[in-house]
Amino acid sequence: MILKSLQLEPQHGWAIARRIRQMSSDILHVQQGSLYPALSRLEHQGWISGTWGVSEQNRRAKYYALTRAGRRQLEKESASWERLAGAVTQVVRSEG
Amino acid sequence: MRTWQVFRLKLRALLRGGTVDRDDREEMESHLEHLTQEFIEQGDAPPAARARALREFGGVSQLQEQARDARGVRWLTDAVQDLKYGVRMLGRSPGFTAAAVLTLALGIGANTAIFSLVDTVLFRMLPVTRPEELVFLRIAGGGTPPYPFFDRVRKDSSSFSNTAAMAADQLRVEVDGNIEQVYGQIASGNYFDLLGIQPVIGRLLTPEDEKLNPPVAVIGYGYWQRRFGGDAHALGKGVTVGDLTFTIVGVTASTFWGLDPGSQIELTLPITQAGSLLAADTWSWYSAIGRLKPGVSIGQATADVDAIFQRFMIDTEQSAERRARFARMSLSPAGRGSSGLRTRFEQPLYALNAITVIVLLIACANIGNLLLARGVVRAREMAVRAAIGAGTGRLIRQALAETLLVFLLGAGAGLIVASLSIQALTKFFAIGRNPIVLNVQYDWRLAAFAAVVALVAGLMTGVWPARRAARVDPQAAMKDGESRVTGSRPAAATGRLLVAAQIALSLVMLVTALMFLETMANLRRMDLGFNPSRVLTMSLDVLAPAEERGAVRRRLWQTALEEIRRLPGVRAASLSVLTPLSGRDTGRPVTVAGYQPRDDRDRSVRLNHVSEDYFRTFGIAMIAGRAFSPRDSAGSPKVAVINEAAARDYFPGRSPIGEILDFGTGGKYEIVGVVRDHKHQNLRQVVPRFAFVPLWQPINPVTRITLAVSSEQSTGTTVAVVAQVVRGIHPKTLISDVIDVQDQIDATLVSERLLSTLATAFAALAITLATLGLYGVLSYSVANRRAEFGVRLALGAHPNRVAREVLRSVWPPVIGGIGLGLALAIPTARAAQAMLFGVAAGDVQHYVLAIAMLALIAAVAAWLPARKAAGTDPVVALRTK
Repeated sequence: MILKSLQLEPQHGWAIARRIRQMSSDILHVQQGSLYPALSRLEHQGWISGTWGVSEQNRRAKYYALTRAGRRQLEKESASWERLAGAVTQVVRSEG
Repeated sequence: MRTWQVFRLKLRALLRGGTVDRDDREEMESHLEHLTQEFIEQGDAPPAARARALREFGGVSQLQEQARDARGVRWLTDAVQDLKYGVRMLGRSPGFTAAAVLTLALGIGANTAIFSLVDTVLFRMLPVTRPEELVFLRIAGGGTPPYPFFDRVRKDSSSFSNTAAMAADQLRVEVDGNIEQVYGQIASGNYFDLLGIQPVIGRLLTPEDEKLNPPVAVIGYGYWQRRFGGDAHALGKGVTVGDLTFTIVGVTASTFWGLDPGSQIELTLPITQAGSLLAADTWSWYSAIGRLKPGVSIGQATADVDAIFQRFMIDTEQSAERRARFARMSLSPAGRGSSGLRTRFEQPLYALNAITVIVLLIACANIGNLLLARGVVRAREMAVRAAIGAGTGRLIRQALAETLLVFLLGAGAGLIVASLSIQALTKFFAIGRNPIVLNVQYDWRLAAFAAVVALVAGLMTGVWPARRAARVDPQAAMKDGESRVTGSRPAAATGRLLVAAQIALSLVMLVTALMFLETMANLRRMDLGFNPSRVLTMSLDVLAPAEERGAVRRRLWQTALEEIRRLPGVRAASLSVLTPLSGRDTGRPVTVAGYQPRDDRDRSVRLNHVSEDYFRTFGIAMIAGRAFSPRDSAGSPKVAVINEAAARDYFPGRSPIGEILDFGTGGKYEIVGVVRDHKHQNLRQVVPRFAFVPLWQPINPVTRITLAVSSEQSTGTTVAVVAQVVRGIHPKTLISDVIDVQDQIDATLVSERLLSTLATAFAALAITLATLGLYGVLSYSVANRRAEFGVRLALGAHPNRVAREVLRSVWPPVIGGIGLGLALAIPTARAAQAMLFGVAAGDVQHYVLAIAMLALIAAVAAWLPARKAAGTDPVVALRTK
């Protein structure tokens, strides 16, 4: 999901959190802080890369961007997610 | 690209952990501020908004910890942290650190030094191309057939891709007008090519050079440096050997010293320099080496060469005796060079290795003890750390990191100790007429060895104390007081066990050292049959045109003897071909009426050409008849003197005076005297039969001669004065091998002296360590029981009683250790029996002496803690609790 939120443009942590909240229409309400260990993990797997920059409010902020490997991973994951989602939908339908 | 990024991140996490942490922190802080801002916008008061934001966000520290885990370098950062902490803790107790590092430096240093010796002498392959393919071609039992056989092998054998012959000896050469002695060899033209040796400068020998047109020579790197200062102008210089002047055309690589470990070839000439020897029926004057063709086994090659050998024996019509003595050929691996040094030093080196391992074990036991004691002292620290959440595993790792750090420091210091010891040890070998020069290489293998020893020893020593230290009960440890006493009990028991082990090992070392010392004393005390003190020997050789040489020699010998005898302080002077224990040997077949030799070898007698006064110079007593006098000259009747062994064998029960020694073509000599047996080649050898004939009535032509001077002056003065006299008579005289006979004896005892010296030094070290260990354990237990002693003394116990109790507590580990030590020492002594002389493994007095010494030392080690216990001041003891 973090990868998805970075698909369009590099973002900093706060923006990613906001975006995830928007995307999931406030349904998924995780503890906000746990975003950071997750980001750290993704970075160490080489899927995203972080660079320090200056945010809209003129503060130092770390911007995360998808790497090429990250983009491939996103495609793979959304594909498998769609397959899973599709399967679930079918199961639900066939029962209905 | 991705791998690189990941790697960079990990590296950054590893090296700049602090910065990364700060960055994480800042990022989260910024998020928190955004969140707070949002809540404020939603209408919360600022403090409430901040609190709500924190709630939403979660615990910052925990999240940071999770982020750290996510970086995946946790174990490494932990290890780094452990080491950093270790350094701090060690720095806080410099006494402990210094003691431990010093102990280990000695233990690891000794092991590394002996390892490098063992490696140099026993294991190291020659620095040549594919050494495993090389074989020596020898007759079973040693020696080589005459050179024409080697020519046949070259032509007829299909097993080798290449073969070469060589022969090494001390050579007298003239370079730049100076006459000097070098250790040189003659070798086949393809010798260097076969081995794959490269020149440093110039070129090496080729088969074309065997034509000696022009004569060329190759010098060794060591000689190039020593004699020519490593100057490229050495190329083109002339080296005169015999009647030929060889032009130096190249220098061999610095790592290559020749095929004979323990010596360094300085000069190589084409084998054709040997001249007529190549065609002669002379046995065993050269060595032969071959490189096996790929796929040919040593067994196949042996069969191949032996077939050629058998045909050679038939074709050259060798006598039945020779055929019986030289039955067949035997090929042996040559990858490590010739085996002389290995055979001679294998046993002593393994013995030394065992000794150093024991020293290291004792050192480890000591450090184990120190660590246990530290563990108890630091129980509170460990308890605090356990209480705030450190896992047992983490605590063990922490304690181990500290131990390993100590061991690695010890290894570092040990390398310094090792390099110093190696220098001392190589000096030990490099004495005498034929010094053993060891090609010890200071390379990464020494450092790797020290590091591995340190790690293994460190883990061995550290694991148990670390586990003990980590197994703390925070609650008990926090309640200071009795817990410290009860908590120390198992540690003290282990401490005593370690002390017992140390005592056992010390006993083994002590017994071995005593036995080696006794061996040495026996060898020294041995009746040599001659008096070696204050006798100086040196070789003389003249350089003169071939046609004058004989006359020049005779004139030099005669004049030199006369003039030297007139020098102040000179008791006696003589010339001889052999001197006692010089390591040289010559023999000659002899016929004695009435004596039936058992075999070919029994036919010969050792033969020495000596001037008058030879027996007086060496203090060899006359048993019967007379010694040579100046009247026994070239023209007078030929006379001989024999030793007791010869008299016993040849003339049992009757006087040899007046009997005849018949040397065949050498002439008939009438026996005029008998001298006492005296040691000839080494101290352990049974004295062989000897015949002495006057130098002026030679049986073989005498070229090289040894001058012996017995003088009251110091060695240095005598050498200088004698050299002046000799050069005054004939300036071009090479004076070499100048050595005191006493030193020459030392040279024959290298391995014995090595063993007795090192065994004694290491035994002293072992005992010192064991004493310190015992003292440490006792004073520690006394310190722990101070309160108890204080109370008892306050209640009226007599101080002597307390002291006695402490003293008594020494005995269980000491007695146990001695028992165990005896059980180990007896088989050890048995194993060392072959290296002993005049000492039996079962000799009780060594064990008794060793036990007595240990008991005394134990009592001394216990004395101080006991006095301290008795002198405990109750008030102070109870107040500090």
